[in-house]
Amino acid sequence: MIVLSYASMEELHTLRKKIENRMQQAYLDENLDIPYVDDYKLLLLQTLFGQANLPDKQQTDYIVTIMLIQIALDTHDLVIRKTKADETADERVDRQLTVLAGTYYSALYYKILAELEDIDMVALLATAIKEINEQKMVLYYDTASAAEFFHILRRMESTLFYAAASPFIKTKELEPLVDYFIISRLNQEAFMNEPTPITIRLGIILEQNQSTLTVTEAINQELEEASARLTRNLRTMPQVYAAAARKLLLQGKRQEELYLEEG
Amino acid sequence: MKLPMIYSYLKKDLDKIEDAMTDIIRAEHPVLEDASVQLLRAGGKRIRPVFVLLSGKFGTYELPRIQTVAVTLELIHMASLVHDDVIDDAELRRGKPTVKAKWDNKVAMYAGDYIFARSLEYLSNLKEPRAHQILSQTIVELCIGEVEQIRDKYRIEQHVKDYLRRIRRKTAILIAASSRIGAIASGAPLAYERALYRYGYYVGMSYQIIDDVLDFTASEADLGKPAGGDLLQGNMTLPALLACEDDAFRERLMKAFRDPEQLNQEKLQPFIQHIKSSDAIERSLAMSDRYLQKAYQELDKLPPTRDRNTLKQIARHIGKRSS
Repeated sequence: MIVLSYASMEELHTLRKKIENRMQQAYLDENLDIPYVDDYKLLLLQTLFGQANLPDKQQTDYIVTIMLIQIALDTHDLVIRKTKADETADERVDRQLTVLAGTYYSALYYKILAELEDIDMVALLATAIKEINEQKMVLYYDTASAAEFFHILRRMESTLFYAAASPFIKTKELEPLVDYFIISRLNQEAFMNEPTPITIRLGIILEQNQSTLTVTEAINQELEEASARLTRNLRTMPQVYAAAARKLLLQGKRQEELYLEEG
Repeated sequence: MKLPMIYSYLKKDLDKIEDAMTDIIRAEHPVLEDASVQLLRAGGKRIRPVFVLLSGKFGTYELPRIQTVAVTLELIHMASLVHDDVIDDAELRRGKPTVKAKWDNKVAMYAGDYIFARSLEYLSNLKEPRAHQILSQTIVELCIGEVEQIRDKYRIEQHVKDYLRRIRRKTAILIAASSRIGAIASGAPLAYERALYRYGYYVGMSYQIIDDVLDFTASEADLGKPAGGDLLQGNMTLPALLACEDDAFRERLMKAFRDPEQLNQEKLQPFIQHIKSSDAIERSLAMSDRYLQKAYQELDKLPPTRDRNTLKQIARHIGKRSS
């Protein structure tokens, strides 16, 4: 549960609703699970664009657009590597609609920005999507160790957000936030009840390396290390980002504990 | 006459488009690059770039601008094909292994997404918001069309109108958009732009109906897969829908569709034979021809140039194609 004031919670809820409304497609909604919308990514986007002095509508449109891309990318990750030979009719429909849902959400991003006549943002985000797909190939096919895996995952999770913010905010200012993204992603993985593409791939790597760690232990270890790095960076980042980062770090922790670690 | 002969005078420009596509799909990751190149080499008729180029001739034809649109439209089509192969679990496309067969579903997903992103990145060189609005709306509708195709599988009780709406989204609007955006990129007058859009739309409808007819009538060698594939997958195309006006046939097909897992090529043979021997094929072709006539009427709104004539010949060729 995210720790926010009532007004901020309302704002996040409104943003979430706008994303869900945009994604609505009767047959997809009927047949697929509701995509995961990461509140912490929403919170950070709200913070980033809040710093950019943009009109409210533009801020909202950007946030909805970027989250749609994130959801599209995540949805396509859910397509299984090999179609099962004994696939049932339901599994087949699920696979087929997962492909189409990802493409549909991705098309919506383009539509929103085209309606805004924001062609430069289309280009910027398309470049980020291109890079993320390159990174996905490395993540799922080339990573040989858990350290390498988490390194690529960190880059992959931050690329879209850095690209979106780059016209308004100096990239240097965002660098200390890099661990924010991997923490929110790993929290998302922990939220899922069943193996995800990320945990499956990590499991394979750990097995290949004959690691004594389980997938959960490796994720918890990375979460601790990333949280420690982000905590150290709180002092060097602008106050508004530090406030958002503290909210992420506070999950399951008492405020005082965090201050102790920062100190 | 073979289709490329009709527009042979565009060859130089089409070659440049092919070169640009090869450049654009280059990726850093070797597998992503190989998968994209494999897709490109699988070829295809490149009919969308042809429509873009020809439409661009009705305004100020500046190849770099027109090329941007032509490359993008073809790459978006390619990206949709690589994803379609995952949807259909297809092993072969045009007789060659699909990306998902040579690598796996994930590589196909990432290659498709990569190519889609590259194409939008490239099209952003064209600062014409209207072109982007039309294309983005087209892609959204294309997705909805495919979702509806899955929804409507094995559903006998559907109207010809459902089928037409589906193929409008699945095929016609991308060809229509190709023609329209080609015209926009060249600054062609609005009246020409609209006529070209409608021409593309009608040709696209006709093209898809003929494709659906050929799925029953063409040989396995011509199709590169066994005939009747659409019906085997539960897709109710126009010939099947028209044949279902015969109550006995509809009942038999409904019974067969109740257990799709048990359907196979052999069990479908009597159905395919029935459709082929009924008037469903002839009536489907007549409907395709009506769309072609409408396409010709739109061309009458354009100035009488060689390019208008080429568009007419392409439409005529589509109406007569046998593979």
